[in-house]
Amino acid sequence: MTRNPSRARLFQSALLLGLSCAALHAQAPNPPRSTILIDPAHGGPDNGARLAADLVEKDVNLALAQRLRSLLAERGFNVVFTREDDPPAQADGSRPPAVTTDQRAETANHAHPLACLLLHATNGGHGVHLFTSSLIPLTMIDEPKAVLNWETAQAGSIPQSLRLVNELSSSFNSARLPLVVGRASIRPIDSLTCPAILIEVAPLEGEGGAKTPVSDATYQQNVAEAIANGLISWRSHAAPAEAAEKTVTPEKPAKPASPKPAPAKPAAPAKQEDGDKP
Amino acid sequence: MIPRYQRILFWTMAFAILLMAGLLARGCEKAHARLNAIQDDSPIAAPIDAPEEPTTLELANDANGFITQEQRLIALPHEPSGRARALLERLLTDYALPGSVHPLPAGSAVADVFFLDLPGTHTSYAHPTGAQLAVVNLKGSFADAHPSGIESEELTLRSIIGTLHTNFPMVEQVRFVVDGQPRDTLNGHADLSQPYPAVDTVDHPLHNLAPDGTRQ
Repeated sequence: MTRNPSRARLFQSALLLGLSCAALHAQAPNPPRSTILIDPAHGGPDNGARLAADLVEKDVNLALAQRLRSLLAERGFNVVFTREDDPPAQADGSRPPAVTTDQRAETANHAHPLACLLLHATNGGHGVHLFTSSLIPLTMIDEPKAVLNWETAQAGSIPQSLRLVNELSSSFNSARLPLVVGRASIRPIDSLTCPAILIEVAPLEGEGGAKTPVSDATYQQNVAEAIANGLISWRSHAAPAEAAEKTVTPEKPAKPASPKPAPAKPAAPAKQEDGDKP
Repeated sequence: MIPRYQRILFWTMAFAILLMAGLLARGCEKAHARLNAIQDDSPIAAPIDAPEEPTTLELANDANGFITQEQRLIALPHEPSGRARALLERLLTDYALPGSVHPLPAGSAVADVFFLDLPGTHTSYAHPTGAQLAVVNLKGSFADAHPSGIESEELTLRSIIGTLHTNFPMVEQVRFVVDGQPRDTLNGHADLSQPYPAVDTVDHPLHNLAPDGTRQ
């Protein structure tokens, strides 16, 4: 009985291809634990607050995020953005739809970042405002859930978020930037599974009542440096507590299909990755 | 020797100078008060046939993000809806005064306040009418002109909810609508899509209730 040589070669090629894919899959690096997610809030038709006659919040958020990305990349962080730019208005004057808060949360949860920073700017108040979610944190007696509720996914990360706020507070104090710390549930923070904080930058009041606006480049740079320094401290002090990989993903009620547990390795269709891997 | 008529003339003129100085100072005071009154854009309160009574307001401070309780003497109507509306109008117009630590736009802010019985709740000695939902109907002009920001919007909601909780113990939940319609946020940040539990907001942060009314 004779063997067909072309069929044998085909079989060998298929076997080789399969082995190569398996080897590549096995060599895929684990998700880097030094990924930082930055969400410049608002965007598109959603301008956010009007900070001056020709300045809106979405642009200040994006400018601060870009400053922060440069500093974090220098310090060896991977940076993931939820939106990279602000698409210009179309010929008919309409604007493309904004990235929704649910889409921002999906990007964040797929990236498995070390910290999620949601950037805002305002004309009210003074200095920098840091907020964590006001959800009730899960306690030790709460049974771990295979699937988290989309609306309350942050509850399991509240202790880490509070520790992150402490790290950033120390950094802002060192930079002599005035700080207000509080709890507030502004979308999409409650749907995030990472340690997450809202950072709202307000004008800086100097001696004699002189105000430094949030659009001031030096002020923005000081804020960005304080955040970057705080994240370095967070990575060295608190990151070990984060080492356990999360194998759950929040259940999004808008999808009627039964939720699937997240894969152990991230599929992470991140919008932007930057910086050197550590 | 100074003649007598010259002495009389001197003292008469000195008295006239003092009188003129007094009149000038009084005129300056009046002008200052008038200018201050121009800066106060608070709407003139409707006359209420009720005595003033001590009332607790929960007031916000942007500088530190705190809510503090303060007592005020306010004349309030007896009917609950009108009473709540007058109370919140007073609270929010105080924020429009010059020098406010939580500056808000001037003008009328609250269109109506309704009280609805919450389903499944029972009357008790403490709550003879049963637990209630307060629906605060804000004016669109107020919401649109409200300073846009997390801290400012959250503090306004905490101030309103805390004041309602303190003065209307039967209120267990507070829901906000704008011009009678549901709205996602107050002005871009604070969530108005779900009701809030009525709590003492001096010590408690805000968080929405789940659609079934439970704390999330």
